[in-house]
Formats: sequence, structure tokens, C-alpha cells
Amino acid sequence: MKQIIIRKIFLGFFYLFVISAVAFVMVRQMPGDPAVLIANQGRETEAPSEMVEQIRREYGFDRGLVEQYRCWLQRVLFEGDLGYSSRTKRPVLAEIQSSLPASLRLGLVTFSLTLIISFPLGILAGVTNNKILDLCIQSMAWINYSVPVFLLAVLLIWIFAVDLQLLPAIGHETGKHYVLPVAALSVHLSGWTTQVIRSSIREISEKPYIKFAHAKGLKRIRVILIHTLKPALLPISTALLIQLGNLVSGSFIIETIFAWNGVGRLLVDSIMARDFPIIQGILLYTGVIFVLINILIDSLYFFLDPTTVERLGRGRTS
Amino acid sequence: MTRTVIGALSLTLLAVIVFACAFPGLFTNYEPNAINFAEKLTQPNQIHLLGTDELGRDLLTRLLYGGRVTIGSSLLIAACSILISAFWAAVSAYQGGIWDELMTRILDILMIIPALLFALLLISIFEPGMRSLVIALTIVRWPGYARILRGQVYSLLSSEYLVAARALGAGSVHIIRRHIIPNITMLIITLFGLSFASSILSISSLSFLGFGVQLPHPEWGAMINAARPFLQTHPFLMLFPSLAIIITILLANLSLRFLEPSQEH
Repeated sequence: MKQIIIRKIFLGFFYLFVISAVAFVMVRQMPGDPAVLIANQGRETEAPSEMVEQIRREYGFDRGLVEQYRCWLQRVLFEGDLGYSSRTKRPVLAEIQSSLPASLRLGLVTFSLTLIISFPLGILAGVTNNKILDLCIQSMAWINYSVPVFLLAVLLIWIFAVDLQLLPAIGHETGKHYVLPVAALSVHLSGWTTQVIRSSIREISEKPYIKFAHAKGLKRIRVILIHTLKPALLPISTALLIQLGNLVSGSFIIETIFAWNGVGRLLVDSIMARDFPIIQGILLYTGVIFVLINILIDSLYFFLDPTTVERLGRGRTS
Repeated sequence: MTRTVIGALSLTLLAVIVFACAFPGLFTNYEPNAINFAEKLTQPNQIHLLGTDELGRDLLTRLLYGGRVTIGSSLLIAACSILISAFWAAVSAYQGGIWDELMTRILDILMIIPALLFALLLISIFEPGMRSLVIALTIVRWPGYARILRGQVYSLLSSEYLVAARALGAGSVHIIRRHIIPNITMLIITLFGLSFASSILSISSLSFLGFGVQLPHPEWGAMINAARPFLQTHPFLMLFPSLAIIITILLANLSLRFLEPSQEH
């Protein structure tokens, strides 16, 4: 089992390597000459061509793509240096670090709230014999999921920030600032997770061994929490962890609407400004997050479902 | 019973919406981009059923033509991504061995980058517009479906009755036609529906932020963004495109969920 996890970690590093190479090539395909953009920064007039040439040489844009990538990779690996933002001239790492906490906090608060909403509802809809209740919860979940996040954000701002003037719409300094973006995100997300939890629970609760557990007179709550929830936790947590990854890599729609200085907004701004080092840095960061989450999911499988080891041991998973 | 009724009803309503958006000329006599300052910001009335916007353009007309863009490109994205993923899955599961391993790894790598961020990056490589949006979202969506389909085909191939069929001398073409395709049709329909609903979400979100359809052409997300300054005075401008998005996605999801043959009774 340890061997398999170690293999996964190595595979993760390999994935990061491929992603960084793909990202490097992709970013260089964007229209616009980065040297000209950097040279023209903060200037009223067009920069002279000597200056552009000098910047091109300084930043290494005149060398071949492979050579540029080799230099970048070397610096990242041996010096932990992701380069400097061409827009603000600050180190990429510092830029990402300063926008990371906002995204992480928003993501984690939203994720916790989503769990608090969707677990009771999903379990209730999954185990209940009352068809109307099940249908109500399911319909509500689908309605929540069908409302786009940006729409909910605009409506919430209108109602609570403009009309009632109860909550701030922009910024992220105090707890009050969290209410609207978290609400907008978690309504949409909880619609999805409630569905996932409900169908996993429903599938397990129709199995014969659950009927037997009821028949032998176990308390209902015990059957639900231990016999049903535990095996259902595996598919549920896989689905949830991927959502967590999406959240902490910056929900750029919400961050843009609420002027929230997170990773997602940094990426949008950097794409607009063709700030290549930052874009590459952020892609590497999201890559790390997802590789970690994948390793976490795989380890969860080992702990919750011992048959995985046997299946993986034979070399292939289906 | 209730499930089937809700599902059938949703599917019918969805078909009506798709039809209305496919042939907007049957339902309206206005041009979607015709500016008429004399009639700007009129409330819904008998001449303009859903009112007009800040440039006097008929809202119902824009909604229908906008729907043609949103729904049309969502269908295109769904169709393309399912086609690519089905092909990929079939080759991967059928070839097996090193090819299967390699093709699955490529999917894993593609799926590590968050979908919307990846799409945003791709759009900025091409020029912003509907065509880049469709290409970007297709590229972003297909790996997920390919993975699900590969799993299904793989487990079918290793099921006992197919091993038996092969032992009896059935050829690849026969196996694919008689056993694989009928068994994954339902899954493909489900994935198509899911892809359609989530594409509408992604298209309208990206257009709302200005990465999709370019002005003045109508699109639901872009219309919502354009209506923001008038939210207080003319809320209907935002209400109708919002309802259009929500209802379409909801109907797609409901018809999918409730018509799916399920084990639940």
C-alpha cells in the first residue's frame, strides 16, 4: 500500500512537470508581444525599439521556447524562484502568496457551509420512505444548482447591499464581507453536493444488508450513520474533494464580481495584462492543489475500501 | 409515476424552448439589434411582450436570438465533447495495455487543471468570441466524459458474457455493435444532457464577464451583465434572461434525472 502511494506521489510530480510544460507553451501562444507590453508599461508614448530589444534580451524572450522553458524550470527547481511579475515587478511567489489567503478563506468557509447544508438534506432524502419529502429536497437541490453563481451574486448585491444597505458588496476585510459571496457560492454548490450525497446514500440504503440491519432491530440512527453512511462516504468524498479543489484554486467569477483579491482574480487580471510569469505560477499552484487532492482521494480509497489495494495490486483499475 | 410525469413534462417544455430559439423569426417580427430610441426602456406591453432595453431593442426578440447562441453552442459543445470522448474511450479500452495506460494518463493530466480557468486561458489564446468559447469548453469538458465512458466500456469488456461471446467466436464489429453500443447508449444520453446543462452555465458565466459573445449580439449571460445598471429602475431587463437560463438548465436536469431508468421504485 505504501508503495502504491509513493508511486502516486511520483506520478504527481510527473503530472506537474507535464502541466508546467503545457502551460509554458500555451501562455507563449497568447497574442501580443510581451517585450513590447513590458516596455510600454507606465509610459505615455510608445517605447523606443532599442528598449524593447533590450527587454527582450533581458527576459530571454529572444531565445527558443525549449531554451526558455529549461531556464524557467531550472530556476523553479533549484532556487524555488518563479520569476518576477512583468506587471508589478514583484516576485511571482509573493504575488500568489498575498492573494492566496483570501481565496483559501473564501473556499474553506464556502466548503464548510456547503457540507453543513447538504449532508443533512442529502442523507434525509436518501433514507426517507416519504416520497414527497425526497422529491421536495431533490427539486430544491436542482433549482439551487440551476441558478448560476454570477446571477445569484448580482441579485444578492442588489437586495442586501444596494436596496437594504445591510451588507458590504466589495472587499474582504471583515466577517460581514463574507456573507454575500459565500451565500452565492454555497447555494449553487450545495445543490450539486446534495444530489451526490442523496444518490450515494439511496444506493446503499436499498442494499439487502441494510434491510437486514433494520430487521434485526438495530436503532435507525445507528443503521443510517454506521451501516449506510460509512460505505457511501467514498463516492461522496471523491466528488466533494474535487469541488474543494475548484474552490481553493479561486472561484474567479465570484472574486471578479465582489472585487475579492484572490488567486482567481489575479489570474484574470494577469491574462488581461499578458503577465506570463504570474499565469504560469498560478497554473503550477492549481496543479499542485489537484495533485494533492488526487493523492488524498487515492489514500481515502485505501482506508475506506480495502479491496482497492487488491485491485491496484493487479496493476489495473477500471 | 410522478417522476415520469415530471420528466416528460420537462422534456416537452425544453423542446418548446429549443424550437422557439431555433426559429425566432416565427415568434417575433423585430430585429435583435435594431435600435429604436423612441421606444427605449418600455415596460412589458402588448406590442413588446417583454418590454425593450436601454436602446429600444425588443427584449423577447433578443432573448430568442440570444437563446439560439447559448443553446446552439451548448448543444455543439455537448455533441463534440461526447464524440471525442466516446472515440477516445473506445480506442483506449479496446487497445488495452500500454495504449490504455498512456491514454488514461493524458486524461488525468488534462483533468488536473480546473475547467473554467483552463477555458479562460484557451479563450485568451484565441480571440474572444463565441467560436473560441465553443472550442475552449469542448477541450475542457471531454476528458471527464472520456474517463467515465472508458470505465464503462472496460468493465463491459471484462464482463463474463462478453468473454463468453468472444470465446464463441464473435468478432470485434459484432461485439461493438450488439453488446457495447446498446449498453452505453443510456450513459451517453445522460452525459450529453449533463454536458448541455453545464455548458449553458459556463457559456453564460463567461459571457457575463465579457469573454464570450461580443456586443451588440445578444446572449443570455451578456444580457444580464448589460442589464445591471437598470436593475433598480427596470428589473424586468435582468429578470427575463435570468429566468431563461434558470428554466433551461432546470428543465434539462429534471428531464434527465426523472426519465433515467432507475433502480428506485
